[in-house]
Amino acid sequence: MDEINKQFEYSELLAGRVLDALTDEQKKFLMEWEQQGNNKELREDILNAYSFRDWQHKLKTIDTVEEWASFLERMDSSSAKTDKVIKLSRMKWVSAVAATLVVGLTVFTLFNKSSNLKPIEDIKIAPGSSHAELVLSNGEVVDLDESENEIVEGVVGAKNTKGILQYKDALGSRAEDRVLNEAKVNTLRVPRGAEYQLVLSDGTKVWLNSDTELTYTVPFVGSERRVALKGEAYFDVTPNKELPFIVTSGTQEVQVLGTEFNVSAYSEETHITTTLVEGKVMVEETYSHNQQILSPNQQANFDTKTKSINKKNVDVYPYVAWKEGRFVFHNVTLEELFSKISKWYNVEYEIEGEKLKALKFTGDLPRYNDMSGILKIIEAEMSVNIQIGLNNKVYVSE
Amino acid sequence: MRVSGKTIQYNSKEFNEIFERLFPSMYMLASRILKSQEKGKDIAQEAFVKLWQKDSEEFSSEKALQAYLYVLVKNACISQIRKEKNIFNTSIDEGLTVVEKSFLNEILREETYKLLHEAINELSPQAEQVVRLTLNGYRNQDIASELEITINSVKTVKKRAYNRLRQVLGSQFVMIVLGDFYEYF
Repeated sequence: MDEINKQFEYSELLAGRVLDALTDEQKKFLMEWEQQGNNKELREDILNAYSFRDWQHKLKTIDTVEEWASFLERMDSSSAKTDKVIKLSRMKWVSAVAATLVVGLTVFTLFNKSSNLKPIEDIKIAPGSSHAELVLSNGEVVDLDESENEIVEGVVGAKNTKGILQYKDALGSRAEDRVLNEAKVNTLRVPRGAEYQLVLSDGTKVWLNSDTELTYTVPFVGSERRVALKGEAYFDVTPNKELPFIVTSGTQEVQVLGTEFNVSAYSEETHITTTLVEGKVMVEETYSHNQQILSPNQQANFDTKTKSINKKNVDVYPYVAWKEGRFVFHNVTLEELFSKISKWYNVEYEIEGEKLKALKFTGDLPRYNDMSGILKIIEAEMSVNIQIGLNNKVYVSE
Repeated sequence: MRVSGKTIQYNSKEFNEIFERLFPSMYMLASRILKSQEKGKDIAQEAFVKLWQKDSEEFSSEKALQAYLYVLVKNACISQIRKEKNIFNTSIDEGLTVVEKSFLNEILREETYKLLHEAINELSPQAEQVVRLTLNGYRNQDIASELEITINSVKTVKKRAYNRLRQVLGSQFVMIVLGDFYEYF
């Protein structure tokens, strides 16, 4: 701080020098300052017409009225955040109870890890990016990323640009041609810490989330358009009454005519959720033929053990926000929250204690930012302590 | 928050005036350090928000508040650089002391330009030309022949600019050497 105050004083001397306003004492003082370090070069660099003109030009571009408005907005939203923290302080009580229960365990584990744990501020965990592997019918694997490549699979060509793999409708766009052409099976694999977009040969758009695999034929043949999904994807299906679009995940099938919906079918989870945004879909279990027909804003929950399908009304936004670059959570447990975000940031995590895992979180977080920002928010809102260990493993504790 | 013994609110006219005076320096400084207008703007904005994190903050003068803002901007810039370069170990951390040093230099630049700008702002275009030529290394005699005026006119222009500066900045303008000079020796 003192150093900064000194700079204020020297700036007056430098300005005074330009305006011939210095006393002999001040001149002497400035000269002695110039003899220290690189101060002479610094003075020459600052008292330079080009550099000053450049500064004046930049100053003109700053709209302080607009900046003031944006400051007020930030203040309002930051005080809204404070309100939330106050509301959450009741949660702290829950946490405190949990703390007494797990204290023995915590002390033990802290001794083990504390040497290599770092606070969030010291860590950078980049968000996922666009990359994927395309497995062609001959078993060849093509790496896909932001760069461009052209792929030919049978009669269908595909173009890869900017994180989107787009199949062009084949020569066999007519049914009789399609029968003649042998369909090739392709699989698009998106690893943890990645996402990808796909446009199928019928124009259907698919957004694939992290740790997801989609298998489909190129081109679609027969009387239906069938794809197999592991993981999570959002579908915007090109309408075609004659060729139903079917998404299979294990023994669940979602049959649609033309619509937008999200399917989350990660193998480690015991439920497959299908969330409908637009149109109409039928969710069916292949063996029991249990089925549910969904209307917009409805969600089917398929229990992979009991094979039962339940339907409920939901706000679809939290389930499809990932595709819009957001993580939106409404009253989810800390465990569910980390299960989601760890896939995107490709990190492992450990939450200490069942009570902590069950804490509920509600929030809307950016998906394309560094993970540390998100962790800071979780830390503040949930009143938990988050530290980062080896390989960016995230430890959540009291 | 109290500034110069007066309690003000973040959305008051008083703070609006302080904001208009101080925001540009914070913005330009952070932009230069981070080499990005966008990041610079964000950091300057955040610094003003952080300034209000504690309502009880008290500043003896606007200068003191400004010094504090510079510290907030500096810390935010360093943590941003650390993030971007993924710096964890101390050997690269030493590079950050270089950043710290250049930060002080940039504060000096910012404050000097602000004073010069205040001095010639709203004066005749001639005052701006005189300052520019001086910055180009011209002596008063050279400026006089370049602008085809007398050397006394050059001196008068400079004097007027300096008086204007004292007038605009009033009590904020301290001109150390008069008061603090002997403390340094």
